[in-house]
Amino acid sequence: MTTGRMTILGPPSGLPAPLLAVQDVSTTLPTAAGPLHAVDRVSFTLAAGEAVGVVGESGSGKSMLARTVMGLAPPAARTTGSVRFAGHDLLTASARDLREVLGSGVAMVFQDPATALNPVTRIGRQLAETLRLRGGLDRRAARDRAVELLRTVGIPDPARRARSYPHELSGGMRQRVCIALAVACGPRVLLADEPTTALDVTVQRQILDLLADLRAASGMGMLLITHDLAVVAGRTERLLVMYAGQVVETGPTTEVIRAARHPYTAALLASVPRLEQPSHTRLATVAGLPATAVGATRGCRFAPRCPRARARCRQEDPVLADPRARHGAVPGRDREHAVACFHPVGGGGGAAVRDTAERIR
Amino acid sequence: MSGRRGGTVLRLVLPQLARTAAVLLLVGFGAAFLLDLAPGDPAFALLGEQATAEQIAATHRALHLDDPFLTRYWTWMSGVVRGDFGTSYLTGEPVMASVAARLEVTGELVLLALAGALAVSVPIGVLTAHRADGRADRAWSLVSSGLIATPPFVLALFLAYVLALKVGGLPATGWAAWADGPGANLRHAALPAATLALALVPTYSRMLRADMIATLQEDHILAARSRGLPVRRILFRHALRPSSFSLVTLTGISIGQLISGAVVVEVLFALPGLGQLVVTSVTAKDVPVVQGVVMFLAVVYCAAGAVTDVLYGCLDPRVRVRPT
Ligand SMILES: Nc1ncnc2c1ncn2[C@@H]1O[C@H](COP(=O)(O)OP(=O)(O)OP(=O)(O)O)[C@@H](O)[C@H]1O
Ligand code: SF4
Ligand SMILES: [Mg+2]
Repeated sequence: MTTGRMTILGPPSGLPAPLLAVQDVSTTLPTAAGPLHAVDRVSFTLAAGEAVGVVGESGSGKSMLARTVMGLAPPAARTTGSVRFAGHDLLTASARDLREVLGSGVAMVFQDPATALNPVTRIGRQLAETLRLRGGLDRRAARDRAVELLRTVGIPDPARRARSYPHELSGGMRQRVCIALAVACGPRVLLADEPTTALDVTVQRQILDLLADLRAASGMGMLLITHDLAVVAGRTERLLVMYAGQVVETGPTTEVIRAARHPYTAALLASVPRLEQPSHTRLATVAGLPATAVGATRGCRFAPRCPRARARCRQEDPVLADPRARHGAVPGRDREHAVACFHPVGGGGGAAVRDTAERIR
Repeated sequence: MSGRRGGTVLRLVLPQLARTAAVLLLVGFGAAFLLDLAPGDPAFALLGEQATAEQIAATHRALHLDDPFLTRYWTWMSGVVRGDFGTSYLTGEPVMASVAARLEVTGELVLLALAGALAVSVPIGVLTAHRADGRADRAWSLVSSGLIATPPFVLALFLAYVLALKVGGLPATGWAAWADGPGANLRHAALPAATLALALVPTYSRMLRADMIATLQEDHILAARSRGLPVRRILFRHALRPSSFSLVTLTGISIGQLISGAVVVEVLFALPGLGQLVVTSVTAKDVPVVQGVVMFLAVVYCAAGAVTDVLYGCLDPRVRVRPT
């Protein structure tokens, strides 16, 4: 029997009501080898002004989660669960309702700014188009506002730059344009899908700072997706660690980093690239191939790579639970530290982990 | 800045001109050579079957028909270089004048067919790509396979039968010049142009569909959707342009297909175009006219190629000079 991996009991009093409530969302893609569980029973909430991180290796389903939340999963995908935003369920909303929400309610920044812009249209026009069709501005106002937005995202000489084509800009500048496009209509929620993965280390920080500034200025909620724990450390309040489509550990970012309990999180921490390494270095030090779940799976998906795996791990599905409670205890609440593992690593995480945690905090 | 742009234009134009000249030389020589090999004597076409041996000899002398092939070719080519394409053996008219007179018909047919084919293929290609493997897509795949398998003359006869004879309203044969009134002109051009266009629509629409499907997978399309832009806008403004390279290439190439199609269609619909001119001139071995038409067509091909190259640049700012 499969039930939700986590029950949302609502935010504790004193916290703002969530803007976005993702509950038990699964996205299954048909493949030749059988159904691929790209996203598997993922739940989380996002409040106004809050930043939540999503970390996981390549192929863990981060992008598919973002697309699903936007109601833009591939047509072949089967989605279940609910994504509640402003009175709509984005998974079942009509195309018309969804279009009303996209851009002005929920917006997205993509992984690769080299491909996320229309290559044959000047960037000013792309911005003006969105402002005109979705922001209700007339042509002239849209043009002026486009230049203003380019200035806001830190493009020098924006009036002239508005006439550039995407290929005439550097990667960092392109990502700034993508961000300008995403925030053009004042979204309440921004999904940033690895916004700095394709960029140089020096530019990464600038883009992350820009996102933080925009969030602070507008109070939007932000989902910051990355494969690099160093990116979310200090920039997000909460963290979801994804493996093979599932959330395997979640909780306040500082706590998850300081006291990682899932062996996978611990491995991720141990493999955070040192500053001198180029940032796109994949997490090579997590031994074994990244897993994707195809067909019916049994037991913990991390088991083939897990140094702590035992018989039970291959028999039963671990569910998210408070690591301090006994197994099978009441599932952890959304905002508390929870881990899906039968044999979690002891709170401290080992010397290497502690070292990294110190370094990236 | 402007200096660089001038250099760019030169670099774009010079190879085109050189290529055109080479193509013309080759094509002119090839056409002359092939015609020389073909049996027949223009003197008979000119004088009739009852001509006496002296009459024929006199004609041969007058037209230099007994000169060696290379001498004739050289004479003709030097005339061409001076802009003189010679005169028809048959009518004595200057070749350029007869070509120009027929061009009005064929040119209109070809342009109408191209415009019609694109006007139909683009929406079909876009919509079948948008709902790939949907009902309309599968139905169109069937219809277009049928169209591809149908020879143009069968199509022409079918259209003439249905639209001219059964439904009525459209003339099945003959031509009315634009000067006789646009209405009459267009009504006469409609069936032949539709015949030509229908032969192009299946390939045009399928080519565009394939490229559109690839474009629609791209991130910037997903990004446009994530901003809530209307579907129609995304399809026709964001996806169409980057998807039209193959279609533009194909359109340039199909000018050739269109002109050879026009030969068939003009004969079937009895239209006084270049196609008919070629057929009568080849039969009569009217070498200067055939050569003139062939040269003209070669220029058209080369021009189509050049226009295609310029269009690439318009479609995509990343394409600057394509070294050829
Ligand atoms: N359009 C698609 N159709 C079918 N399968 C897909 C599609 N997009 C992604 N997948 C598969 O879904 C799984 C999750 O992919 P996803 O792109 O969400 O991973 P990710 O965590 O974003 O990885 P990365 O860090 O490389 O971006 C992968 O196994 C991938 O092969
Ligand atoms: S459940 Fe078992 S296999 Fe899975 S992460 Fe925990 S210890 Fe490893
Ligand atoms: Mg991704």
